[in-house]
Amino acid sequence: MMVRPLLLVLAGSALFFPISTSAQKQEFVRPPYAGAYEPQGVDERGLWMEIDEFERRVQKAAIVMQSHELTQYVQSVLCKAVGDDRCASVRVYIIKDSSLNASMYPNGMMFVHTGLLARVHSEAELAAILGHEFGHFEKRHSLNDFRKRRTLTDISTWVAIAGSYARTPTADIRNNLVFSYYRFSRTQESEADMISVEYIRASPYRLRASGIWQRVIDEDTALRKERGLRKRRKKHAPNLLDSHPTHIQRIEFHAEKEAEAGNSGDDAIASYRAATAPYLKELFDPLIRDNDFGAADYVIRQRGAALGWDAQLYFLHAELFRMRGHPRDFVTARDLFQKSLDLPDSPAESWRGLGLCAMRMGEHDAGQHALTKYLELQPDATDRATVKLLLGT
Amino acid sequence: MSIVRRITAIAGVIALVFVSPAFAGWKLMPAGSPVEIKEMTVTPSSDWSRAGSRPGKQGRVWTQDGFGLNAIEFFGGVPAGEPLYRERSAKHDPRPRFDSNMLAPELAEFFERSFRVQNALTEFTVDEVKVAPFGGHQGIALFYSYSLPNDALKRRGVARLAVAKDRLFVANFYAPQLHYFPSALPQIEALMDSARF
Repeated sequence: MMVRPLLLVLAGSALFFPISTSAQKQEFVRPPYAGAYEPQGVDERGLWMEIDEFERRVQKAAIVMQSHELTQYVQSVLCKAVGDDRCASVRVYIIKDSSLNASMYPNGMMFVHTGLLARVHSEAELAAILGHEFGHFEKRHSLNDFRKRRTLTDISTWVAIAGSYARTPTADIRNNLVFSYYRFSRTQESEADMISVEYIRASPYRLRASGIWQRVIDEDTALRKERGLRKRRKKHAPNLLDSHPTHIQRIEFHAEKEAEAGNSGDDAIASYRAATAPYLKELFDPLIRDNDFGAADYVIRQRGAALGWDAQLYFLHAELFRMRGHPRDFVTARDLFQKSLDLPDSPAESWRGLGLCAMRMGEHDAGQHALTKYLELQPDATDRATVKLLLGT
Repeated sequence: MSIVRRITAIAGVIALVFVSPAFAGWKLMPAGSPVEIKEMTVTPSSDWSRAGSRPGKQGRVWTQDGFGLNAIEFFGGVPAGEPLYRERSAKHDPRPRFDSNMLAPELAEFFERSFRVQNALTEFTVDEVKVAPFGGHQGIALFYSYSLPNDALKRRGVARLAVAKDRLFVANFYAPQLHYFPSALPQIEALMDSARF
C-alpha cells in the first residue's frame, strides 16, 4: 500500500521556510489569517488556473463520493482544527480510494480519501492530518515545489550542456540535484507536520497523530506477513529519494509533541464513530475488494477494537473472508455474518453472504433459506437473477 | 551527386529504418472466419484487430478503434487456481484466483475484483447480473460501469462468464458510455453468442 500522506501534486522554491517564530510560541494562538488570497505573479497565477480547471472537472467526476453530510462533517473537523476563518477557503472532496491519503491543492481544493477515513479513529487524529494538509496550503508549498523543480531541472540541463562541451561527466552533479529536490520535499513535509501541531494545540482537539503512523507500519507488516514476505526493516532515516520523512521519524516527532502537550483537549472518538458509521460500506468497500487481505483485515480489526463492532463492520469483515475463499474462510465468514445478523441494522447482504457460505460448505438447505431471506429483504438486488438460479426458481 | 547530398540521402534512409513502427504483433481478425482462443472459438461479424500481447495466459484482446474506445477480451479457459489476468508477481501483487467451485454470484465478484485490480480502479459499479447462456453452457452476463483513475469519462462494460470442464471462460467488452458502448452492444452480443467451447 502506498502511504504518501498528504502528497502535493504540484508543488516548490529554492528558499524553504524556516519554522515560523509562531511555532515556538507557548500560548498557541493561531496567527491572524489574511483570507481571500489571490495568486500573485505569473507562476502562481498559472498554477491556480490549471488547478481551477482541474477542480471544475473533479466536481463532476464519479470518483468523488457524493455525500453532502460526510463532506460537511470532514469540513467541520477541519474548521475546528484550523479555525473558521482559515477553513472557509477550503473545499473538501471525498475521493473513493482505498489508500491512506489526503492531498491539498494550491487553490484550496482538498482531497480526503475514503481509505483515510477508514483508518483514523477519532476527530483528533483526522484533525492532525487535515492540519498537515492545510499547512501545505497556508505556506504555499505547491508553488515552492513547482519553482524548486523548475530551477533544479534548469540547472541540470545547463550542467549537462556545459559538461558535454567540456567533455566532463556530470551525472554525479545532476544526481545530487535530484537528491536535493527530495530533501527539499521532506523539509516541506516536516514543516507541515510542525504547523499541524500548532493548529491542533490551538484547537479544542487533543494532539494525537503518532498512533496513525504506528498503525501504518503495523498494517504493512500484517500485509507482508499474510503474503509470506519478509518484514520491512525499521527505517530511522529517509532514503535519498524519499519525498516524506520516514514513518518512524514521524512517530518520534509526534510522540514528543504529544508528550509536551499532555492530555489537554478532546479526542472526539464518539462523534467520529457516529459520523462515519452510516458510511462504513463506502469507506471500506474499496479496501476489501483490493485483494490486499492482510491490510484490509488489519484495518477492520483496528476500527473494531478502537470504536467498537457494529453490524456493518462485522458484515464487511465477513465479506473479506468470504471473498478470499479458502475452505476455512467460509467457516469464519459464516460466524461473522451471524454476528452481524444478531445486531440491529445488519445489511440484507449479510443473508446473502450467509447463504453463499452455507452452500460452499455443502449445507444446501441452510443456504437456500438464507438466500430466500436475502431476496425477500432486497427484492430489487442487482444479482437477483443469479441468486434465483441458486434457489432453482 | 555531391557528397553532402549523398550523406543526406544515407541519413534519410537510416532515419526511415529507425522511425518505422515497432512490430507490435497486431493481426487482422476478418469478419466471418472462426477464431480459436485456446479452447474457445468465436466468429466475428466484422473485422477486428488482435493485439500481440495477451491480457492473461489464456487470453486475447481485440479492438476496432483502440483500447480506449472499444476492446473485447476473451479468456479461453482459466484453470482452477489461476488468475484471470496476467500476474506480475504472485508474491508482491497477487491477483484473485479462480476456483471451480465458485457459485454464479461469486463468479461475478471474481470478475469484478480481477478487473478492478487489473485496471487499478476505485470506481466500479455492477449495474446488473443476468443469467445468460455462453458458449453453449449456462453462464452469467454482468453489466458494469466504471471510470479510470484521473479520468472523468464514464465507461461501461459487459462480461459473459461460464464454467465448463472446471475452467472459466470469459468474454469481456468495455467502451466509453458515450456512443461507443451502446452502438456496439448488438454486435458484441452476437459476437459473444457465437462463442463455443
